[in-house]
Amino acid sequence: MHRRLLNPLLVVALLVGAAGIGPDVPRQSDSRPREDAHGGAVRTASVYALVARNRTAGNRLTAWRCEIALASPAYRRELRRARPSRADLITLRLDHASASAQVVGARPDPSRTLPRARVVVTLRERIVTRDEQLTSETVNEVLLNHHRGIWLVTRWTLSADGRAR
Amino acid sequence: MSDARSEHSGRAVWPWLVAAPFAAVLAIVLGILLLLAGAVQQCGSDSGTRSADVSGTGALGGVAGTGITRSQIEGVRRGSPYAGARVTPGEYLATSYGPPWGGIQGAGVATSGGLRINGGSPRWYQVAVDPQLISHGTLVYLWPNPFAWSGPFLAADTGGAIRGRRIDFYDWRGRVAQYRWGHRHTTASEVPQQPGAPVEATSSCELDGDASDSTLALPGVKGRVTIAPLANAPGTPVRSELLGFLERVAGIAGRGLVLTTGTNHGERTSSGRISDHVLGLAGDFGSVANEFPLGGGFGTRLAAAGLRAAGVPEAEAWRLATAGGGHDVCHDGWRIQVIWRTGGHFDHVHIGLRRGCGFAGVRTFQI
Repeated sequence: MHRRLLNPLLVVALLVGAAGIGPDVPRQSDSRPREDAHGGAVRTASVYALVARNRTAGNRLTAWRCEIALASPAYRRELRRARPSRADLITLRLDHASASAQVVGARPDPSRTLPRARVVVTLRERIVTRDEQLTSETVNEVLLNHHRGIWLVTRWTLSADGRAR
Repeated sequence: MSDARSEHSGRAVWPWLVAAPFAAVLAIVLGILLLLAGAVQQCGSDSGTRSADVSGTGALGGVAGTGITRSQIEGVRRGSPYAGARVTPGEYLATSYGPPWGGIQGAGVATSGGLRINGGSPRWYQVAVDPQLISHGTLVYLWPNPFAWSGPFLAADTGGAIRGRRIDFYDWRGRVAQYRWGHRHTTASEVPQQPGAPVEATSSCELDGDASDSTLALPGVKGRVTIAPLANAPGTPVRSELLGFLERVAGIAGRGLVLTTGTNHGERTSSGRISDHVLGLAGDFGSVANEFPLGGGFGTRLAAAGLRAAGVPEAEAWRLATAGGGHDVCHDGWRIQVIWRTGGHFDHVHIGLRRGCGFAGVRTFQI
């Protein structure tokens, strides 16, 4: 029960924290509801990207639950099937593996209209294992759907050029 | 005036006489090149677009740049219990797996579709799928993917967690690359999603066997070497220098190796010299344990990898391995010897070391 409460709280905290993320996020104004919508999509997309790309053996399960909380029903079903197994966590621990990411930029696609949105999130990522480490920038694409007043992630992948820099 | 004209005409004729043979040679060379280009064009035309382009970005050779030979694909199509022609297009949630093997990654012996891995890290584009949605033996275009590879992937594996719209990319590059991909969506399709993507050839122009599998891993990658029971004489293991070298060979060959004869070998060679084996500095890789046919297949690749590990450039290593013979190379103060396809060396590849050498290049001999 305690864990169930903890996860939504964590998501809310991340959402609040992500409010200031993204130099490309358009400034919001009460008189421009459409940009508000995009702003919400950008925040959700940024939070999702951070949740998906910040992981250690210790927080992997929590991050997975947060991803589920931010996902649309169809994606949620896929994520449930991809639950990190005990063996996954052991492998992460044995590898001393961790991934950390920072949002460098988040840009909404203005051609998408409600209830859909597409946000390109650029992350600076650092992946560390016992033997290696890699720092790179990835350009990610997050598709979202506006559902009952909240944005939910429907698709998460590398952006169209498909390359990590 | 007439003198001047005749002098002028004399000057005009002799350069032509000199240039004529060169022009003829040039014309012949151009003709040959045009004929070759025609042959290549003919191979490509069978499949409509670019056929089996193995030179594009990320192409690994083999069928449509997948790094997998025609015979391996046919093996999956004939032998996998999940073989078929079904490809369900659409969105899939994709993860990645691969070496280092062990634990959740499995032993890395072979895929459920029958591709042999032998604990190594072969470089090929292959995915684990749910056979109810994508059949084994199909070439599927997946974009985006961890390699930014526009060509197809061979469906040839399954996984306990790979059910429904899930795909697992095989990534030979190791854990960091696998973590880098994490889990992301990818779009599956039977047809290329990127312009100019390689497609599977329908003609027999594609090279198979040794030649189509002609991409070796970069030197520096280490693979696994298993010492077979009875390979060594009791109490006489092979030396660590040899094992270190052989691990590099296994990495370059892209597959785990089974050392079938180490120190458990006659004291002298056929020429009467003390064998490298008894010094713990030579290994034989038998065709049965390492699964290659007599005088060909992976044996040639292994010999090429041995020469490559000894510093021989890749193209030259392939040429020497394919030609067969004994090859001595002086590398970092060691004489490295690779023997394949000569004398009694059709059923095994011999790789031996000996400290000290004073020659340059490769010395080839026949037994």
